[in-house]
Amino acid sequence: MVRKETAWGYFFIAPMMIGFAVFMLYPFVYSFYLSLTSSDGIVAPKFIGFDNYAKLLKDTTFLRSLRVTLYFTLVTVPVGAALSLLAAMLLNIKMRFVTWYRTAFFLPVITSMVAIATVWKWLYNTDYGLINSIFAALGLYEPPWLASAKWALPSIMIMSIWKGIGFNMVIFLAGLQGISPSLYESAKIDGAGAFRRFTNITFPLLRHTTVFVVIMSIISSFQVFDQVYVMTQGGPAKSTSVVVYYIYQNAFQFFQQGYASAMAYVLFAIIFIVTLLQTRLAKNKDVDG
Amino acid sequence: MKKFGVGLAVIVLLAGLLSGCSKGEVTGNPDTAGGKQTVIRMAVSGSEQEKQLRYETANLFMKEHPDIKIEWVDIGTERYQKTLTLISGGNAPDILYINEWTVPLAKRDVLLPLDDYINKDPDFNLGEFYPSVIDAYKVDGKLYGIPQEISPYVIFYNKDLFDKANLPYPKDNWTEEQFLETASKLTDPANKRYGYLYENFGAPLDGFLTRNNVELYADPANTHLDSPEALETLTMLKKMVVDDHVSPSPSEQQAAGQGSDAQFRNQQVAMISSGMWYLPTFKKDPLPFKWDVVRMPAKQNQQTKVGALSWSISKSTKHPEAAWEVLKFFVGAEGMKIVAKYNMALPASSNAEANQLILDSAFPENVKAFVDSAPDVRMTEFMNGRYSEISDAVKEIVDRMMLGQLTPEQARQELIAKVNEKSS
Repeated sequence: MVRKETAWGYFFIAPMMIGFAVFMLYPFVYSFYLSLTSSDGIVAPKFIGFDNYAKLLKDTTFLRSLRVTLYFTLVTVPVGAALSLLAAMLLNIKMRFVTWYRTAFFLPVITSMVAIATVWKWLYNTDYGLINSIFAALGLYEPPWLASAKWALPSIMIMSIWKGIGFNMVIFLAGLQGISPSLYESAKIDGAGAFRRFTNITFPLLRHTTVFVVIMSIISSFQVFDQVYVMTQGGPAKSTSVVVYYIYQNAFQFFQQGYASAMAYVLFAIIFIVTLLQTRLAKNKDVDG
Repeated sequence: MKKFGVGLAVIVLLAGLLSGCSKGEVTGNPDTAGGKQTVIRMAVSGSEQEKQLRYETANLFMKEHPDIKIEWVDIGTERYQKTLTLISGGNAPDILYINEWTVPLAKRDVLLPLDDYINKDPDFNLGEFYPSVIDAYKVDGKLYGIPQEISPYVIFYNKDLFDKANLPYPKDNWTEEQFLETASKLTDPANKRYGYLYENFGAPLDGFLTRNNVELYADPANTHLDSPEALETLTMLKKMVVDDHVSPSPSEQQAAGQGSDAQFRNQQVAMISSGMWYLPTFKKDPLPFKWDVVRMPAKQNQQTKVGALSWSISKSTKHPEAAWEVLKFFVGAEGMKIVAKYNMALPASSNAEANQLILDSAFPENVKAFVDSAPDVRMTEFMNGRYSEISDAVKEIVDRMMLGQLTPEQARQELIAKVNEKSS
């Protein structure tokens, strides 16, 4: 009897398991195999050991794309998380139209990145864009945005932060609503100001939420691609060539799927180690707590 | 462990069920005549108008060959990715639309060499094709693709702006010096108008180098990147775009966010370089000024770059004979005449009748410039298996030169290093 039930259990999870095996596990394993070959996507792959990885260490374009990605992550994650927390705290206040505001912040999240990037490309247009028209009317400096090697990456960062705020805000909101109001009341009675209440109650109690938000944001920033593909194609002069864009170029333009897979695995290793370190740090904090 | 075994069995069973449905349908015997139709799957891509051109050619073919049916495989705008996916999935169309990817794919042994079919077919005359064009589709002396359309880059110029500046219209035998002088006289900073629009990518960049005998995509030993001419052209480009500023810089172009056709139409630039693909739009939606075309200006030679469309046969085709019949028709006299009729590209062969149709169109007046450029097209980049990778690196280096991060000499050194690295 028990065995029969077990079999049915497996039967019911089979659709999910098959999906996982076919679309996740198999590509995951196969791409590692590809990374050890000279595969070009057509000819039968030839096994070359770790040559691709050795070549990566000397590929200045790859190393630069890693730097660009790191810079993107170091800016967008903290700024994005801080702004999301701020938005969550503001929208946690009981006021009229609060659900309307929450929806407004969340809308970019459910919109496709490609659509958003296309619209922002026009907002950023140096001569005719909305942003520079406003700046011109206010007599401000009009940056060349996507047209300049200096401004292109910051332009993409601003847009990405804007798109990401809504998602993180909702998670922070959930965290905030889990904090008992009685804590704030007693703190108020003890004479703690708004800032003290934030540093001594809100922030410590939101720690798990913050860790989650930061981990998820780091993972997605390391994988930034769509907005680069749509807005700058890695330019000008490679200033926005992030790792995944370079992987895409190698896999689908340069006939080097093996090499591209090796890059993907290096990126995976980096994300994996960073995430591991973060969870470790968060756990240690718990023990010390 | 046992539980795991049961689960695995279920998964394997289901997977087997699913894969059962994906076997391809069986088509009739290959190349039979007896009433049965042979289906040839042919790739198609491009604008609605371009597809219309293909459909018209195919309909004419099928009327003459009722035993062969052409079925279209629309490969969309990401042509190469789609083709690669179809090939690796074992589902390649019989006739492929791959243009500049012909040599890289031929080297990977997925294309059918066409020489045998050409040699035993008395109706087909390869001699009609321009040698410099045909060579671009050869690997080790074997031919893997036959072009149907070529579109040499020429200069489109705004006659009204020439009149306003009291300049004579350019002649087909003009030189690069005359071109630069003209561009500078047409530049009007007060009105934010430039003499020429230099676009910093593949064809325009390679064109100026090629006309000074520098070949980025030749064997590293034959690029002539170390010659004084290479430095001369790089210096000229920087002077034209940055110092004299007779063309918007790459960042200004990106900032404007418009194609060269729009900037030409808005009279922000007096001259652009492009192939014939703008003609259908300029015909349908006439430009608000008088304009014409003229050949690219000569330096040491008057070669030009080209946009080209070619057909290849997939090695995995089950009907090579029928596929050859289709291909032959598309690149033969009938196919070429339809190309000429649509006026969006030149026939890739010197077929007199088809080229006369282009000349008779007289749109624009000096449409002859395209036809005369055809024997001078230079397609070295098609023969380099790593074209896209090198051109990506080259564009970046020249971009940095235009941004003032590199001197022309430094740019040249980086180009030499990159081309050597990528070709090794």
